[in-house]
Formats: sequence, C-alpha cells, structure tokens
Amino acid sequence: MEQAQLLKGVLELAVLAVIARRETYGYEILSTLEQAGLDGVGDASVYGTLRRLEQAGHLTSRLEASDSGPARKYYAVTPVGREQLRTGTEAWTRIGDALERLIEP
Amino acid sequence: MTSEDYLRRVDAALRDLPWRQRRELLGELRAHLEELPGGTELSELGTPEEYAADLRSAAGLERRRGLVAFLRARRPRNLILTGAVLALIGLAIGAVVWIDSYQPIAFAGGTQLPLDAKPSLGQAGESIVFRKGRPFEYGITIRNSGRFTVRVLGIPASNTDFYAGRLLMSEDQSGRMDERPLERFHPFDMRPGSFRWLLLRGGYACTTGMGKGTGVTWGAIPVRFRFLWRTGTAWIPLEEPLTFSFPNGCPPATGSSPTP
Repeated sequence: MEQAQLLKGVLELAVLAVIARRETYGYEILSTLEQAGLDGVGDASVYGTLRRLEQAGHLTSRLEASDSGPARKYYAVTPVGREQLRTGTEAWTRIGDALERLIEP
Repeated sequence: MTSEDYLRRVDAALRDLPWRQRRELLGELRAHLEELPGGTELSELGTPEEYAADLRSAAGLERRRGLVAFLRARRPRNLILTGAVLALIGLAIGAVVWIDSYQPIAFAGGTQLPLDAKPSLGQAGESIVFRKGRPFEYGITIRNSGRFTVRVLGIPASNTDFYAGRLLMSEDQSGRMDERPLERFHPFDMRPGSFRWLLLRGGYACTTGMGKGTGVTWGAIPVRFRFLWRTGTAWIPLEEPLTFSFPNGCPPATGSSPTP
C-alpha cells in the first residue's frame, strides 16, 4: 500500500500536530510535514484538510501581510482542536501498538 | 503552463462551488504558488484538475448541482448586474407592449346625425337613404380618457365609405355639447380629459359600389392617433349605428378622396 493512501487517514492528525506547536501558514505546514518524512502528501490535500479543520472549528485563521508576496493565512488550534488532537493521538497510539503487535513475528 | 493558466483551470474545475468559497480557495492557491521555491514545476502539484479533485476531497466539498448552486457560483456583483439588466429589459418590453396597446380616445356622448336620418325600423340606430351628391353631415365628440396627451391625426378616408367632403373639428377642447365654432381639421395634441367635435361635412358619394336595395351600417368611426412613436387607430363605437340604404344602388367612383 502506498504511503499516500495511508496518510490520508491521519493527515488531519498530522496537520493539527504541526499547528499545535505554533501558529503557522500553509506552505510552512507542508514543509514541516515533508521534513518529518511525510512527503507523499499532495499540496491540495493539505490545503483541503486545513479548510475542513477550520470549518469544523478545530482551527482559527488570520491573514497577515507578507514581505515576499501575498498575505499569508496563519492557522492556530482552537481548544476544540486541541481536544481533537488529544483523542486522535490516543487513537493513533492504540492503532500503532496493535499494528506493531500484529506485524512483529 | 503559467500560474495564471493553472489557477484558471483549477477555478474551472471548482466552478460549481459558491463564488466566495472558490475565491478563498483560489486565493490560498495563488499565495501558495507564489511561495513555491524558484524552479518548481507546476506539474509537481499534479494537473489543475487533479489538484481541484484532491482539494475537494480533502476539504469535503461535494459537487453541487441545480439552480441554487448555479446562482451561488456566480459572482454576486455579476448576479446583481444581470438581474438589473434583465429587469430593465423586462421593463422596456413591458413599456413597449403598454405603449403599443395604449388607446385613450373614447366616445364622449355627443352625436350629430344627418338631417335626413330616421330611427331604423326594427333595429337599433338611425337610417339614412343614400342619395348621391346630396349634403351629408355627421359628427361625434371624442374625449381623451387617458392620462397622457396623444396626437389626433384624423379619420382615414378609406374607412368612411359613401361620403366625400371635409373633416372639420371644433376649435375649443371643452366638454360643451352645444354647437361650437368649427375649423378645418388639422392634427392636434389632445390633452387628458379634453374633448373635440369631429364632423364629416360634404356629400354622399359612391366610394364603394353597392347594389340596388342593399344597405350598410357604420358601427364605429376610426380615429387615427399617435402616442410617442406609435401610430394607431381608435375605433370609436357609435352611440347609435348609422345604416345607409341604397334603393337605387351606387356605382363605384374613381379617385375620390373624402377626408384627411
């Protein structure tokens, strides 16, 4: 199974985790995900996920003027988003542990 | 492919989404494209259609159909402009239809019958015996019952058979029904609420051939008028129909031109 397919299920969690560190913007989120090794995620998927999380109230955003181009949209995690990140992390840990037990000989 | 081409194609692929939502998504994409490191090929993002599909899928944006979706996908300013233009076109069409049907000239209650007219036997109205060349005089009063001034152009000669002579009109436009000074007809502006006598004064004439023992009835008098650009005919119903009888017939004349 390709990494991209696996990532789709956890992209929401990954994006929330990146933004939970500090307020950031789309391109930086993409770069952070790539640097962490999640380089199979399409740009559109990340921007779509950001939009869905914002619509769900897990993120807030604000526009800030940029020296290098158009205004950047900065995202921050809301309390609801933090709770979502916590429950998501727990679920992911359980799944990871279960998979580890299954995969190990 | 340039960034603008890419944006245009993504926009086309998201055409069903509400305009504001599409504008936000494209604004983010534009900012993203400008932040890409120099030398990045746009093809690395996938085709614009693939990008739009991934964006739609990740954001949970379902494809929208129907009239509401079609309208919401339009830019509000364009929708308002289109609506205003359609409303103006509708108003213009309505105005043209209304002007085309506007007919304010009505019978005002006064009739001047030929001196030899007698009540018709067994039917409504008056009857006269056609005698070629003998004096003929017939008049009605008209009134502008509308709210706008119209220009009265006359009574068309082709519609006043069996008569040849002048068309006269009263000089003043008051509602008096008694005899008033007359003048030769000329087109005039008829103000709302004003009156006029229109009088045919001349003689019986064979403008149309009629056989012996036949008869014909005038039930309405046509009055030509102009309102704005439109010229129309108001058929003024007569209070009492006027029947011509032809005991001796009437051979058609040539080249008669009775009234304006």
